[in-house]
Amino acid sequence: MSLHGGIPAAIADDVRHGERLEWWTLAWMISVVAVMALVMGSSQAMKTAVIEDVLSLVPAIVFLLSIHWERKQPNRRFPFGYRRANSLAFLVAATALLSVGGFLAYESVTTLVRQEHPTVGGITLFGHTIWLGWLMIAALAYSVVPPLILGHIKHPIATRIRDKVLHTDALMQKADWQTGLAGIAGIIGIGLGWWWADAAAALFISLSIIKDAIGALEKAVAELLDGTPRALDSNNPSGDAERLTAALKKRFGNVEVRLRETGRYIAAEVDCASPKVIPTAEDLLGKELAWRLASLTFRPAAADSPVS
Amino acid sequence: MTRTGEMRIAVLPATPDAAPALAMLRTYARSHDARLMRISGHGEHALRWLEEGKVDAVVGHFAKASPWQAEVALSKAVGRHEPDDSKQPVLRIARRNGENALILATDRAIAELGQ
Repeated sequence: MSLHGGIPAAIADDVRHGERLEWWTLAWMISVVAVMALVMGSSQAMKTAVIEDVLSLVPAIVFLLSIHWERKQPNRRFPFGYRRANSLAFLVAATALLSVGGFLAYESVTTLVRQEHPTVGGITLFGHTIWLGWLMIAALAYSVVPPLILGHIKHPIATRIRDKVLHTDALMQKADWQTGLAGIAGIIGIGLGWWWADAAAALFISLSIIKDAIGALEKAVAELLDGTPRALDSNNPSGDAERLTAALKKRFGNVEVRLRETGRYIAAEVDCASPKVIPTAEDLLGKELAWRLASLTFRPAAADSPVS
Repeated sequence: MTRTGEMRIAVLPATPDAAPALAMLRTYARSHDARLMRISGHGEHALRWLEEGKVDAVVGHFAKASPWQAEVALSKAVGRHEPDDSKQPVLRIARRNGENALILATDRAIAELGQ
């Protein structure tokens, strides 16, 4: 690992685990899309669930791409390396999540306003004609399992490696299994003659997805605008950032400390003259989190500070 | 089906082989204590009535790739195999989208007839 490139040894294993999980996610979700496409018929809930599952591949793909770029070393054209690829991937993943929520809400509202009655007829298999709804429910039940398991495994890894893309992907998986359950409720509703059940269930779920997506987008934009590092699950400053600020203030007095985040790495700028002994990342954040601090800059008060 | 116990069926002109489709619909109507009521109507009008819920089904010759396939639920070919040419009109029952009980019952009856 160099100053601006590579994955720190402290999180290398977790990052590799995250990568393996994302390859599994791609394989499972492609199989889910194939199964759902086979039985979707003209049910809006099923069509929406298929499109949503296709979009849900985006965070997994951009996570794998961003890790590939993060490993690359800086060069003359990119002297600060490619670590910001993670921030960009986060923006793309959050946008994909918002697209899923927005699409789901739009389709549901349109169905309810137009009072579209979904048609779910019969299908003949091995000489028996059965209600296509049963196959749809089976496909949806299958679609719920992989994201439920994968999302559950990804969440603690995302927390350990402070990866907002992986965290957003875990949110996407939550959206996947929730949409699957809503779809099952919708198909059962159709069977009972409640044409609106399909759309109403999807609309309810879409609101929760949109809320998560807006939260992720706020953090992605904050990161690209060099805002203070945010927590994974809220728009508040991250615990690591608060801990680092406190450690720096304890050493250098009541000085101005500015922090920003590039991907998972924090850069700190302290308004004071360079001390004789520069503290190490381990001194400031402890052994476990030392990898988080990528750079520490001291900025003596300039004589020609701009007049505000 | 109306509350008066009538199942309104439009049979398109030039459908001399409508009998098996009508028999299926009659069986379905009977199982719901209703009687079949035939209404005369021409292609476009009959399918528009179906979409608006003024009739419960339309019996006629439709291609699998009919321009109406999204607006109504077209059954499989009645009493024969699906033609290779998706543009070839064959006897089908057009049902109103969302009328899933009727759709499933007629799908089953058509599959049984084909066996």
